Amino acid sequence: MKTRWQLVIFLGLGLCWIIAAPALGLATGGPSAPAPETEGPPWWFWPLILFAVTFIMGILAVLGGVGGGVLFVPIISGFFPFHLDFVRGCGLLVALSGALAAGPGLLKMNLASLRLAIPVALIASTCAIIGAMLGLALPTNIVQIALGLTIMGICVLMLTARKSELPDVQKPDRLSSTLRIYGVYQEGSTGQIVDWKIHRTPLGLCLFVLIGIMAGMFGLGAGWANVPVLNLVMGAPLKISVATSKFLLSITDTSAAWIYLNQGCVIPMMVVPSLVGIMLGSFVGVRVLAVTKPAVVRWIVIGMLAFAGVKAFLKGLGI
Amino acid sequence: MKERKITDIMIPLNRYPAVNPEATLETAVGILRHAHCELEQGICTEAGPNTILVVDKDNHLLGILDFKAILKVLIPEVAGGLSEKLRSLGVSLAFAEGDAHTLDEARASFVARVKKNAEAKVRDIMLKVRGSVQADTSLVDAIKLLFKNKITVLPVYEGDEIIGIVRDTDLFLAVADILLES
Repeated sequence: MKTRWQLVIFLGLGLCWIIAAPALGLATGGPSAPAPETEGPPWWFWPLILFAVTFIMGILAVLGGVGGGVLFVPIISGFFPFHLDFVRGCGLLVALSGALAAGPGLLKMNLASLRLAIPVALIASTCAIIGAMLGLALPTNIVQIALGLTIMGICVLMLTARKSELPDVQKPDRLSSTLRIYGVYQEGSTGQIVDWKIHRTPLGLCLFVLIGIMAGMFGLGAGWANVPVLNLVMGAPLKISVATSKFLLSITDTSAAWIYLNQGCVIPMMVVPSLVGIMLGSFVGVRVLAVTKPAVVRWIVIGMLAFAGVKAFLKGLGI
Repeated sequence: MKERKITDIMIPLNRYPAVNPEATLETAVGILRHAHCELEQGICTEAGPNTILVVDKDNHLLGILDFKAILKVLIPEVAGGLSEKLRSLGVSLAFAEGDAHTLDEARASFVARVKKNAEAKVRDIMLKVRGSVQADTSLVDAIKLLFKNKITVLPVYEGDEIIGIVRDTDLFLAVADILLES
């Protein structure tokens, strides 16, 4: 099995090299290519740095309890010389990689609820497409300012939002009853059967309009917003909220990713090292998490996000 | 010495462990555990079958389960392939990134996970039967088929009707008997 992992890493790096090879030809100025005006770093420099940074990001995201996409977009757009459009396209795929890996398992475990996910996904993915189109149409500095503000908002949300494992839902609302959004799951550790239902469905669906637009516009993934809305507003149990949110991401982010892909904003030379880095980092993070969860990491992550948010905001203002 | 036939060494169908496709893996494991573990003085001799047949009510053979296939379902993240490992990583990631890693069932206790996974339906996890022999097939041909298909048991048919199972153990004993008796 170890050999298989090595094979995956080898293939990832190999693919990265193949994709980057033409760039090598350009960077070294092949026989007929004009001589470059300025001496930049070699072609492998940025993919390698991206791989290293995303690897650490993967570990921190898992230990800090946030999605990889949330860290990726502000940090890479703030500190790397890539255009925001490419970073957002890449961020969506980074968020998607975790969601697609988790989806089948969460559905099989009966934790991701299709009844809850489908109506929400319909709204969120439609809005994610609109958000992606808006994000690509608006001037970059405006998007950068909005991104900075959103990131700072996420920090506030991370600091203040309290989760409720089993919210008290007295009576399901009419819309959720009509759509039959309720379910049952078995608590793995205790074997207890948990019946759940939701309320405030219209408000929750309206909030998903905003979440969808932001997910598409910034390429952040949207777990940070999905979970509080599903859990605190709509009253779904935390386990169902986390699982359904991750499953939802695979639908909404896919919709938005197509727009970025169609506009040529997905560069394999950025995506491949980032995906390989973040997945390997997450793998290590999950292993570390099984042993310990240092509380300080969450504070470091919030601090990093706040700093990246302020940087994005100032960058948008041209300061 | 007269060459023995498949029907001489096979285990008749009614003596081989079998389970309904709609049963849970837990039921299948119980039946196989009992059949595999022939108790002598309270100690399991591990002399019984290593596989369990999946048959419908008309005794049609639909599939088979062996130890590896069972362990793969009970502990997928360890015994399964790359996709199972990725799936388990994905689930752990979902809970870790949602800041709810304490709720992660993929990391729950070993006992709880095994019990949960044992709820799988037999029909969803059974393996395909790869190869079969007729009652008049020679021992050599049966052994050849075991090697060719990399399997350990072969159903024995008489026409369209399954009458028994021949295992690698039975074929080994038959060949060993040739040596010992000569």
